[in-house]
Amino acid sequence: MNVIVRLGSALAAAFVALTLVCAQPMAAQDKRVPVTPSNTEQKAKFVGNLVTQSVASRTIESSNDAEARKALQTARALVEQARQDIAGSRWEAADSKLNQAVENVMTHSRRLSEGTVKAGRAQEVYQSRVASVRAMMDAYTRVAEEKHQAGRAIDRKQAIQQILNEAEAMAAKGNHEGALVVVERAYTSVTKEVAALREGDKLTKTLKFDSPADEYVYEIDRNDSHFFLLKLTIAEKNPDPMILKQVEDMRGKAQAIRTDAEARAKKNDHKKAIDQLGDSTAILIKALRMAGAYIPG
Amino acid sequence: MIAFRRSRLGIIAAAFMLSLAAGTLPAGAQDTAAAGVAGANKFNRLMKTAIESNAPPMSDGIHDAGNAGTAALQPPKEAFGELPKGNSGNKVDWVKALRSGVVFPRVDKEGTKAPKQTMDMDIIREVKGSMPDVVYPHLAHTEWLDCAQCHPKVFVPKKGGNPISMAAILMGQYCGVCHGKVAFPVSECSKCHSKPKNGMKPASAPPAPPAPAATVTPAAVTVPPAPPAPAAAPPANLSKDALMTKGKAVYLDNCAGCHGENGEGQPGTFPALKGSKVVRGAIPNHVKTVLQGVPNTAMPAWAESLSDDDIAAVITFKRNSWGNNTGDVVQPATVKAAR
Amino acid sequence: MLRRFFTKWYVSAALLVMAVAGVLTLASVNEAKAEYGDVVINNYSDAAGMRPAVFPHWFHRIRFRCKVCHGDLGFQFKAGGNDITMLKIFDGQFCGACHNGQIAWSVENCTLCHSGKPNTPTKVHNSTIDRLVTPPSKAGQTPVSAEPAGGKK
Repeated sequence: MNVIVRLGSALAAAFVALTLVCAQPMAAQDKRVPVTPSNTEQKAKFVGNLVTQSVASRTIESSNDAEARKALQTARALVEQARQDIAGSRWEAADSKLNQAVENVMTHSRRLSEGTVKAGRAQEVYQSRVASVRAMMDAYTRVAEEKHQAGRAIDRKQAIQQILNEAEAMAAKGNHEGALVVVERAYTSVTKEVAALREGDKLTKTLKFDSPADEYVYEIDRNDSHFFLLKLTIAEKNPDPMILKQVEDMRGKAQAIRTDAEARAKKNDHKKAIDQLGDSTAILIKALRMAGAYIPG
Repeated sequence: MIAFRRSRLGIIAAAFMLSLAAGTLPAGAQDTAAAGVAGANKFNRLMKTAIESNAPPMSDGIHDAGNAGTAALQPPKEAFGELPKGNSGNKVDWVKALRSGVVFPRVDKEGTKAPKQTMDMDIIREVKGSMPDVVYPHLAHTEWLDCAQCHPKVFVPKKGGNPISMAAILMGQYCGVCHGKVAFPVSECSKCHSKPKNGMKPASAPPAPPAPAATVTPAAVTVPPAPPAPAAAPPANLSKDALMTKGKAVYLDNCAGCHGENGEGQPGTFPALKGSKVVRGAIPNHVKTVLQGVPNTAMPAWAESLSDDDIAAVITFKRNSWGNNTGDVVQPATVKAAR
Repeated sequence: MLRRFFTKWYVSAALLVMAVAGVLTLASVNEAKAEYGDVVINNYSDAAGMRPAVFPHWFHRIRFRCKVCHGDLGFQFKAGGNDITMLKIFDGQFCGACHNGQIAWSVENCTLCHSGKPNTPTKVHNSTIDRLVTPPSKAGQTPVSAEPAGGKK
């Protein structure tokens, strides 16, 4: 009986102690995750992965660099020692060994891959930037004409083009990182120019269709949109079954009209198809409202 | 004797604390602080449990609660407490948060004080039907993004170069590259569809940009925007026939979805208009109901989406259809006065 | 002796109390869903025995404008589309550009990123397209089989 009492109070005390431990502030230097038994065990598992199966360690293994391979061996040994520390409940020691192992792999894999990884990335980013600069240059030309400032624009464009040429030359020689720095200047210049020209504008894209076929495409998209919206609305609003049944009936009706419209469009009767699509969409709008999305017609 | 009893209580207390500890360790229990009762006496016994938004990582369904680091991650609610609220997505109004200065996200990685280059240019896309036109504000977007993120990969920087539709957006193209994934989802229609046709007030005014935007209409390439509706003159009276015809069209387009094609409504859910007390009762009350809606019900306010002519027409139509033979004719001037 | 143990009233009371406490804490757990904008990246994690990485957009949005990562650091707008590996992170690319102990905490804290449930598909959780394409399911998890053709979105 006394044993039970002692056991109960010991457990209660342990519970209290655990709560206090877990509630401690976590910033021990710049460690984010507190060094607790379960955390350290998990870290050992993850770092174990790092030193055996990861791309980084495989890169080191497959290289001819003696220093890197030695560092990897050291890292693996450290992980083993950390595991022994964990078995002996020396959590802090285990944690610092694991950190050291990560550091080893990180430093050497970085050194080995620095050339290829950086260069590959630099090329991707550079090309993407050049595409942006070119698109913005086109826009600049167009907008300058529109605003009757084509004359001034010519000088600016020439300057920007020169910077771009400089960057391209560097890239051609394989110096993508340098080229990136240069193309940034071109990018900043052209975007500044376009922004200055366009500041305060309000452009309107009116609903003007070149042909019934065009308008038909628009109507199909519009009809599609309402089908999707209906699906989304039903999923989110979860209407009650009685209403849902009516909504589904309406959806079926709308689908039937649309199929009909598509058939007509194939026979090039776009005008009638457009009307029918309008009807189909109207039914969908009613269904949407019934399902709980109150959109105007 | 007392020691004896105390020890028994000690056992029970220890057992209780242990089991609570065991219950709180796994995910989710810390969210149920208020839920002291379960099952038979739950407050909303038959309601589906609410889906919790902004759930902390331990219980949000994608983080592994058994992972060491998950507990160290900041719960979103903690961060969002100080931020302006939004209605969707993260439930935060990020544009407002940035403009009001409660967050100061860096413009470059190092956090130099270089200002962000922005551009204040609106693109207005007309849409069919009575859905307000879309206004795309470059300003709000360039406060967060640079030109290169969208141009040319997502949007061709050329008017007419992008066949955008809601379907495409919902499937993650064009605007849907961000909206619906990281930026607010499309459930907030009026954030984009903010320019009503016929020069009316927008349903919800978009946030005011910090710098005043001068309206410069570029020559040649665009059709100039419609001239503002004349404010001073009262709206013209319409004949009863005109009102009935227009009213029927407006009714079928906007009201029939809930109130039925013949005003029969949905018993228990949407009231019938045929024989309705509101429709057959005093005109001012009927007008007010249509203009302002009915709070805490599904009846929306139509003031912002329908014009005076439309509302007058649909009210006239309802008051003279399906046996509601009031004989009343409501003119647009009446509706305008009631706004 | 065991029978004597269980016939003591306080033992039964203790067991009853444990049962009730357990029911209380587990009974009313709300259905939760992932924070909007959280991206699970599981290109290589499962194969490497790591939990998938979970990237929280909201946390980074408070601290950086979109252009810093999606422009300066070159992240594509595509979950899983950047082919991020630890090698690149060590090299200072992608996440490693900031998570290097200087701008943000460094990569020794594996479990802070690799915190997802194993076998979670790579995608932006709770996105609109997620709801349109896959059927609604419990707690933000989507059955792997429901992934549309092409996988990554």
